[in-house]
Amino acid sequence: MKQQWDEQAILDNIRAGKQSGATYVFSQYGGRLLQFFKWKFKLSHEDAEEASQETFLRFINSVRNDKFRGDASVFTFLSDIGVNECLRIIKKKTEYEGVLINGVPIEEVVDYSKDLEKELHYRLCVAKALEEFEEKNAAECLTALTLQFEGWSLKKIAEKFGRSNGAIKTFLFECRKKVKPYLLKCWDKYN
Amino acid sequence: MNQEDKENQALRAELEYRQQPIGLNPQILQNVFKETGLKPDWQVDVVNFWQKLNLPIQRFSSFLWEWRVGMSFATSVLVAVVVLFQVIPLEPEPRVKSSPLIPQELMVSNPQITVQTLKADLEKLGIVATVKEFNEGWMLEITNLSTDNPEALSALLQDYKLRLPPPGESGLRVRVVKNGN
Repeated sequence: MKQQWDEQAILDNIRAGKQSGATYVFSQYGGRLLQFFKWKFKLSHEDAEEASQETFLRFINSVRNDKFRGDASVFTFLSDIGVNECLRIIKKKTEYEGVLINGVPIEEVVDYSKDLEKELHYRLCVAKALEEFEEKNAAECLTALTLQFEGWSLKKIAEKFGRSNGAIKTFLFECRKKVKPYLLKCWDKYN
Repeated sequence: MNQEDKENQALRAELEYRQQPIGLNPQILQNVFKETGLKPDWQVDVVNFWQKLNLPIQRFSSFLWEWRVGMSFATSVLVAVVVLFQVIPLEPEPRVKSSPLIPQELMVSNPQITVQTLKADLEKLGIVATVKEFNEGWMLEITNLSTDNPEALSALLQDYKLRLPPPGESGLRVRVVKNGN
């Protein structure tokens, strides 16, 4: 029987010295954290992996040492640790000195880290919102939007979906309109 | 960057991610488990199971140990007591030989003459009596009152205002004391 995970179950499992709770967290958030680390901090894949490993290491140790008692969500806690790990790695690498993180010099980025965490949360919220949107039989919408973001022309998208140019334009417009309320929830929450 | 731009950026990034989800290297997780000492769930469950199973066994073994210690102590005490009784002979309690008969009292002016007369009268009937002097007078003891002439014995005792012993008794004790004692 597949275990249903909630935050408390994850923490209890890790505190008991078991692996499955941590594996679940890793599978749920690991990829997104890595992507965010690479994209936002311009880290190499190896550095992003190092940041991810240190993030999970510190997360598990904090849970096991009762430093994290579930006051915030698991993802919030992971984000805090992750952002700080990325900043630590960037600082450690002398070649990154003087680099700008989102237009902010690395020396000042520590004060900026709360915004980075907020952005990370916003990204995860959008991810969950799209999952919810997809469940409402809107998978075709997301495919069309993805193709549009990838730079496909209207004509090519229309051909792929077997519709006319006008119809696909309307379809894309409707898709954006439908997805908007889902994204708005995240915007209100994290901005 | 305005709200729409930020939304577009987040939407685009997420749609890109969904197209090509980044899988974290599983070795990272293995490294983390190695560092933190997390074990597969089944291993932890097996250890917990054995610990739970072991607890009553430990308690029982502890109980057995305590029980054995208790029994050993009790046995040692018992053996010591038995040995003590074997090694040290018990002093026989000095038994005071006393006749179970309650002596009858005879108050006379001259106890010595009376007791001697009574003794002589009894001997005439074939009854042996012993006479002992004590602080306040004389004690006459007869262990066997049987005689061929019970009427004479009865009459003799009556003369001295003495009673025959109760049924089942064959002896008689008479305390002869001086008048006024």
